[in-house]
Amino acid sequence: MSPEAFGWWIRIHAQLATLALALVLHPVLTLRARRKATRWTHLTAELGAGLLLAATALGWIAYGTYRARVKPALWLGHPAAVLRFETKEHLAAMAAAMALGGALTLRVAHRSPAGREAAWIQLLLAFGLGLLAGGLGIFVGGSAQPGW
Amino acid sequence: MTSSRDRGAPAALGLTLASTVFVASYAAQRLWSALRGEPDWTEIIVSAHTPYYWRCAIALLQAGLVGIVAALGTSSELAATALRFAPVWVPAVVIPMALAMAAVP
Repeated sequence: MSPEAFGWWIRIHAQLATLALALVLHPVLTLRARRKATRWTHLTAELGAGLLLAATALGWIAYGTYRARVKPALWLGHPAAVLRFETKEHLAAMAAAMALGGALTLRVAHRSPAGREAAWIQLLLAFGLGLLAGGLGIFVGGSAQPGW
Repeated sequence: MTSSRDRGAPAALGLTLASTVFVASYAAQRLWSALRGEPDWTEIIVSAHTPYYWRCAIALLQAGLVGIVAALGTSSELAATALRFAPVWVPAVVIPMALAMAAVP
């Protein structure tokens, strides 16, 4: 992957993840406030989970290049950023799994209160883990830049 | 008797367990690797595989298997009961695992 492609790739990855988190917040709030899951709740849960999976997939594709080309130099100047980056990857994978589980649980069991509760907790955890991963991403992005 | 509302409960339990097992399996693999001792990555010139990809793939496989077994092997009543307590047991597994990942990058 060229440096330009890598730059594009990780920016698209970050934008998609931000959009996905904004979407996932909708079912997190509405499943608490309402007694049933509306069409919009399903839509935002599924779209949010899909976008989070897409962002994770883009991250997986860029990870090989990061590991080979970016990580060694980053380690020399900002070792803390390298460690935080690994934590971000762990949390992002967990967030994607939780979001997918939550959206699908909502789809198959939205009629029962217990099903909606189970979906809600997964989506809430996906949002929380995703937010932490995004914060770490901002921290790493601030260090992994050309500098002058 | 199964209530019509609980009809999707076994599948929902399978999905909830699958996402929780993914997190637990991923974190357990990372912690096991750290406990067992691993070479300093700055001393590795070339590696045949990327541990991150392997961890995700194995966690996905285990999550899928557990999810399928739970969805097929649980009654609607049992699944509905387990789902009722999901707001307790899901974060009880996920939050400590996520915190462990902050401690072991």
